[in-house]
Amino acid sequence: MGGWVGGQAEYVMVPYADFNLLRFPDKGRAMAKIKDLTLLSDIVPTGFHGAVTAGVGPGSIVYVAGAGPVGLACAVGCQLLGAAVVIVGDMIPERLAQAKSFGCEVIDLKKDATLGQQIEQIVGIPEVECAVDCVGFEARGHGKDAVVERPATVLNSLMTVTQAGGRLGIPDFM
Amino acid sequence: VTDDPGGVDDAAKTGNLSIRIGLGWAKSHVFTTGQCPVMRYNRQLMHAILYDKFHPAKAVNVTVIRWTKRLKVTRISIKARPRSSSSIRTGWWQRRSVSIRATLLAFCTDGARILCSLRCFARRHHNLLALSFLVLEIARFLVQLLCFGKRIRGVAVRARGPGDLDRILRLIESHGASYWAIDTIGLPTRQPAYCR
Repeated sequence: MGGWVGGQAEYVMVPYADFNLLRFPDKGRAMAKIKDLTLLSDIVPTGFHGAVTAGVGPGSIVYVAGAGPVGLACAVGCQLLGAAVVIVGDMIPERLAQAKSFGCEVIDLKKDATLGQQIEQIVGIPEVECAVDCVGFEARGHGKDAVVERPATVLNSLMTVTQAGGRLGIPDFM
Repeated sequence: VTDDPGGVDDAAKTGNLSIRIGLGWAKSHVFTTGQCPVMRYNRQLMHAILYDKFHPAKAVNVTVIRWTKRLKVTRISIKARPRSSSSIRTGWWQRRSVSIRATLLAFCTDGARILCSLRCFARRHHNLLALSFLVLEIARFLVQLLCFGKRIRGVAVRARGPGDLDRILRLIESHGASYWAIDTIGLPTRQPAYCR
């Protein structure tokens, strides 16, 4: 990005490093948590940005579309922001199990029940307050349509289940 | 960046998306999109991690993959017989075209990068950093030129199935054939793939 390619490589030369880099206050403490801190370079801020721009706050009911790395980072970010319920939707059972492991509600999009119906089963109404699209452009249809790519599906379904006046976060990633 | 040549429909190919914006309008939704301003969050999130309030690695299921040199990489060679690369299930002719195409693409991207650094240096950043970048890029390019014959045989990718091969080619096209790894986050549906 920004004209510099290969930011996810093993070694990276950072331009304007005095500005761009984040300095850890203490090496020992940082190394103890290096797995968490590594994620600060990309996916955690991206997911968190989605949560912030969707207006997640204390007590929010959030739907996160997609349980990939960014989706999961977003879900855990929603929990940090104080969301009451974080619902994560995906089609892959392993990913949903992963989301469940840290306290999210999950929705299996392979089922034919609509997203609204499945949300109703969890929170009682077919609506959420905030929604985050963590799927990107390779989205697929829902239920029977799950085989073909349908880029617009996710956003359309998010609009359907987000309450009036709600916010949708669409963090960028390809 | 916004185009997606491999998109499913014509709209996606040119970076368009036909969504039901009328629905969003009727419900007065607020949409926010764009790249994440990482520096707006990273310091605060770092503190949350260091003071034990936030554990994203567990949530995302981070697994550390130790990089053992060459061990994980299947070397694709023009002279290699089909049986020598077990993880790729395409015909040998396709493998050859991969190496040649990838190498040519690597040259193109490297050339473009040199031009980019040159322009950067000439235009506004008359400082040591830009100069060092320029020198580095040129050196890299020269090294590549020197081992051209070797490289044509030495572009090594590891793919699982023909779909992956296409994706890797696309990645080489956009990022050049230097070291990179696609998403090594340990989710079961994503296999790490390396390219050099």
